[in-house]
Amino acid sequence: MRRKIGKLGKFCLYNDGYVECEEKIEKSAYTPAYGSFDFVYGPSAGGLMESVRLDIITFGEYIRDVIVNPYYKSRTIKIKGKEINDALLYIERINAPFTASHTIAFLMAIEKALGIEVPYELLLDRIAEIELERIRNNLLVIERLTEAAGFQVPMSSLLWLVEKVNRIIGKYFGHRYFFGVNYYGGINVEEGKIKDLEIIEKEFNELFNSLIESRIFIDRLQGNGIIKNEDSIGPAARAANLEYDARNEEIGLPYKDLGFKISTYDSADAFGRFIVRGKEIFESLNMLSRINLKKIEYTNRLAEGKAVGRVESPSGDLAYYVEVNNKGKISEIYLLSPSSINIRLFSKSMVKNIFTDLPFNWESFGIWISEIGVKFE
Amino acid sequence: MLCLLILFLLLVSIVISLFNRKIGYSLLGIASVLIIYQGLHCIFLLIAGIVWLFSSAFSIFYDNYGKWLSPLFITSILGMYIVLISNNYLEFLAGWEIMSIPAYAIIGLNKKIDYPAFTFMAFGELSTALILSAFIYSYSITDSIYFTELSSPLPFIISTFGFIVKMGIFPFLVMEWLPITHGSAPANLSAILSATMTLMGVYGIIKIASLTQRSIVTQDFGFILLGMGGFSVFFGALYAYVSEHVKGLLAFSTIENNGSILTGIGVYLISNGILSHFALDVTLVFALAHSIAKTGLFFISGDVEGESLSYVKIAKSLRGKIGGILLATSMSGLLPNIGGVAAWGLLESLFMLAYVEHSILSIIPIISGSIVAMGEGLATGALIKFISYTQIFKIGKTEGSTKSSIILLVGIIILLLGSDSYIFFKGFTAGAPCLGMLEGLLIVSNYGKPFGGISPLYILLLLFIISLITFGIFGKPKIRRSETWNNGEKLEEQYSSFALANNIRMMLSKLLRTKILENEVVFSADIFWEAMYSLAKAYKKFSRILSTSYMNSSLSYYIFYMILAFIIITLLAVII
Repeated sequence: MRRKIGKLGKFCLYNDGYVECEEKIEKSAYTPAYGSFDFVYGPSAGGLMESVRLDIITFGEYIRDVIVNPYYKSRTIKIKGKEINDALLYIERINAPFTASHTIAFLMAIEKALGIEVPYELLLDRIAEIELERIRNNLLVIERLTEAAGFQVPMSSLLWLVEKVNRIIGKYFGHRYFFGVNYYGGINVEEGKIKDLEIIEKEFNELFNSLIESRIFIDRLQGNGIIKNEDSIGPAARAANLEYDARNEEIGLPYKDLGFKISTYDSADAFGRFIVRGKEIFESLNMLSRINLKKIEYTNRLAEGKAVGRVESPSGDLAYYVEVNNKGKISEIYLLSPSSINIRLFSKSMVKNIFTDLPFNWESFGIWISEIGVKFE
Repeated sequence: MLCLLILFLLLVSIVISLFNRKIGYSLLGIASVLIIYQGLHCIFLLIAGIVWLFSSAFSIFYDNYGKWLSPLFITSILGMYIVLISNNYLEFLAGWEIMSIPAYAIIGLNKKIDYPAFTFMAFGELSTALILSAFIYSYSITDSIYFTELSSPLPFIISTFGFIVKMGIFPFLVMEWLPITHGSAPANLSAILSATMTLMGVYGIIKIASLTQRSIVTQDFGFILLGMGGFSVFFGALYAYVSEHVKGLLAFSTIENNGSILTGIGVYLISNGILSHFALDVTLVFALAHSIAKTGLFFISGDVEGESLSYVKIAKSLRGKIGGILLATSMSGLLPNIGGVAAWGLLESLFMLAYVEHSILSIIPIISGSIVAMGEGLATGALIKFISYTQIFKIGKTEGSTKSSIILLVGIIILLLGSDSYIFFKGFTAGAPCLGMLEGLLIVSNYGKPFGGISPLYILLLLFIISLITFGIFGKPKIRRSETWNNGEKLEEQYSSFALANNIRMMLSKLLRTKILENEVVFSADIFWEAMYSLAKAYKKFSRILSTSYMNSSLSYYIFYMILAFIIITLLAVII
């Protein structure tokens, strides 16, 4: 079945390709009803990690609509006219927690555009990067959920696990946020099997099971932010039993060779997204145990071309459309970030919820504002 | 002689107000002063006199409703005065109708829609019909049109239902709130509808109760009144809390207060001796507290622009704010205001009754007391909402007005009445020398033995002294003003009054029958109005069936009815 993922510049991206399409601006159906008012949360308030403004249209407790304005963190990045490796320096800084996903999607678009055959071992290295990034991000999302519930002990334990993952990334890739790891022509990596993953698995397993058993915690998540939408992506889709995952589709990374299994749940709420993220951590650890990191390089080509590179980032589909001219410089670039789609899903899922549900639901989508307000020049 | 002078003044003011309403209201004010003087020996006259005095003063600055409001307003007051001074059934009924009809006319003249005026009149006449039938029965057993002792409790029970209709007690709540809210009665009329017209109901019940010999029936009837009162307190307060209408909230609050008063009457009927006396005192103090504070609050409602609490506009005034807060705290049952004394007294009466009964029946006053306490809590919430959105949050254009001075004056009277409330509790005052309290400055609840006590004057003095000491030690408070931080954004819309009560709407959605409509508007059904509406529709349906089946214009049917009637009459004649 053909599935639309989202808007990628002037194109609409589908799971099997992209076509040029018109911009369809979805307007909020909100009309002010008697007694409703606009409760402004953000752009700089406690509980928010990044600058974002949430206009909560409410009657008091009951939420009628949420309008998210992510453009308090807007950036214009000059990339056009730059060489590929120079451009990468900017791409990897768009959203540091998702650096691997961004740089790999960008490089995959370049490589596809230029018709480069990427060595198999390098693709496995890239899978290792993305899956480590996923583990770290999912741990952080779960930590944010426990923070919203005021659960200090699991919160600190999860942060410690995040730190452990950061140290592993730093050890094998030379930078805790994958800066300078991927480049056009190869990868900087410490060769060998990734160690200490079983400690993370053991500790997380204990934490995850304790949280599932905590009635106080799961009460805040169950029934909160239900969204079952065909336009969903990432954990939000999979929590609604929709088997949407770029890793399961032909995107150029050999996930199937690692025995990848899709993780789903059927509640479509914040609890479902929490479960899916937890299960994905185990699945990622399982895949990582089968990867042997190798430092590989390939020969660059100077050619003209255009293509889309797509990966399954921790929060869903992330894609770049890139055009390269015959001088090896970027002439056009578009980004489809998962957060731009997840914001829409979050807003829809908040309707008819109450105030106290908001932080749990917001965190469950794993939205990063930094990757939304980006303009390329 | 004084009565005749007051009646003369009232009649003259009616006539003069046709030509000059300010002089008319001024004459009403003079008459009210005389009524207050007369009321030094009769609390109902005192309460009514104070309300009418302030209403007349407020009306001078308020009335721009054309030439009919003032004469009709004064006529209605004349009717109430006749009720209060009447010593026979005929005068009482005449006063009752003189009170009701002009109020109906004012609501009708200022109507927005038709049915509130008709509803008011329909319930008003239901009240009259019940009272009339009770009085006819009283006449048949006493053979006198004068108020004399009644051996049967029946006139009291029937007339009480008549008076309850006028008080807007469950199940007749629409009598109270509908004309005030939906008819948008002028604020001065709302004040007397809510403060003194309901007071006439209280007066009527106590008057007839005082004539009726106590029996097991009156005692059992007291328990019924306890139940009805408790129910009205809770639902009146709950609907006041969720009401968005400036006057509607106050009208529901009146139902809550009248519920408390009825509960007090219930204790008065059930108990004997000292407790009964204490309960009567509490009932009267409650009536005083409610009538005066509610009058002031209705003045505030007349001083605002708009009907919806979320969007009202009011002129900024410190006097209005202080007065309003005093009135709201009194209505919330907080000491040292008179409302606080009344609320304390009522709860004490109920718990003393439970103690005295010392049987399974004790559970009834305990439950009633709990419901009244819950209602008081909700009423506090409702009044905080009212005062916040009418006096505190909104900033108007002008500073001060004569109307706000009147509000402040009423507020101060409420405070002074509270700290001087010992005069209403003769026989229930004591002292506590070990605590430094002089003799007579402690009100003691009593059922034969002392139960509890408060000293409103000491509370007032302590508040004053502690404030002075604090001021003396720490000096003028250092106030640091800073810009409000709104997450780095310009301040936008304020928290609406609707939102303030929406948590209750959501929590008690089953009880309030809260629905979220298709356009996402949150709506709580008014179960009382819906019940009345369903009843009216059922009656209409029944009438239609009756008219089409029984009175169907068929000649053969009528001949059949005549023959049937002839046979029945003949049989009855033979049997008898």
